[in-house]
Amino acid sequence: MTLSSLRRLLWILVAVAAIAGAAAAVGIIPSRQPTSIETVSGVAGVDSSFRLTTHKGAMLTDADLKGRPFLVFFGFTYCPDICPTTLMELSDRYRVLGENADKLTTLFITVDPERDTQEVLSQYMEAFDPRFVALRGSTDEIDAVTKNYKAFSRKVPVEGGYTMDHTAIVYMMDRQGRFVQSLDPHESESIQLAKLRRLTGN
Amino acid sequence: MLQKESILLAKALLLVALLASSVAAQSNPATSIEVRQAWSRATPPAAPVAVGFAMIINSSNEADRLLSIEATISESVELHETTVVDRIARMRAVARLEIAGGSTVVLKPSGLHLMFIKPKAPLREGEKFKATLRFEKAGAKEAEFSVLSLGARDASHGGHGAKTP
Repeated sequence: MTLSSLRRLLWILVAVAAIAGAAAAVGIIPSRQPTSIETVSGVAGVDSSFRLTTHKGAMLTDADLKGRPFLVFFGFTYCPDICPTTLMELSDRYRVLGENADKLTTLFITVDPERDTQEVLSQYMEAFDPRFVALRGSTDEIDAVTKNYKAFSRKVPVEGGYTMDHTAIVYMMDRQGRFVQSLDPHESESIQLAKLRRLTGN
Repeated sequence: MLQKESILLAKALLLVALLASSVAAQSNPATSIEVRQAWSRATPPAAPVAVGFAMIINSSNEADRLLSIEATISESVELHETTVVDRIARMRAVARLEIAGGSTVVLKPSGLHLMFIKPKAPLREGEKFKATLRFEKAGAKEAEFSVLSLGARDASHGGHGAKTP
């Protein structure tokens, strides 16, 4: 081997090491991409009727809300992430809307009435705006309501119990109980407030 | 000219050797995994679950695996992943989380999270608690979780808290 070919070989070694080093540095960048949240512009053919029991034990039906716009969110208390953050976000919007939010009713319908008893729900709702109403019914009654709202919920067995898959949008319903649009959890606060003000007619 | 190049080449080779040794030092299993920015959210009364989020940094060259999590604040702890596809939220247990060598896995809202099942008491904003994350190679790593507001979206601030304006 001549001196110049040795020199070339050593330079190649340096170049390879540099590339390997750069690749290792790039590897430090988080490997997981953010989970995408789909935006929904509309759900066709929603039937707003329901007849359920509130967390305070009263019966509530869609007829009781006639003339009032309302929001509907399906969830359950064993949901650690999306459900409490959605309800908290709505509580924040209520706080900003102040008295205007009195014109609105927000319904949290449990898709897990088996575990979400009235007692559990009444305690759970203490964390959120006191104007919110949690609703429950028998499994059949809940199934009927989710069907009316073209929502999806399914009990999924997991080790040591079960979890619920569920539609995670906030339905915006107008005074006539017609579905207007959904409130997307990743919209900015100002967009959400504008949509809510439009719904309440302010 | 040739001599100058030789000196430069020698320097470059020395640099490579130094970098290689520092990379080798980093792959020491005892220090290869770090759990940083661990945080949780306050829970509503009677909530049967609480969440935990954190950054898991693997600074070694080798992949490692999160095998289990232990905490005294709840009956059990699992690793779960939330996905929202076509408006439907799903949550599934993740049996084993692999963290590739030189990578960081972020546990964050609407994604991977620790699920503390049946907390012994509601978590209140401002509290701290500890949990131990057990890795296949790096062993047990203790992390301290800061409890942020119920609506917190990330570790950097209290998020959309329920505080009065």
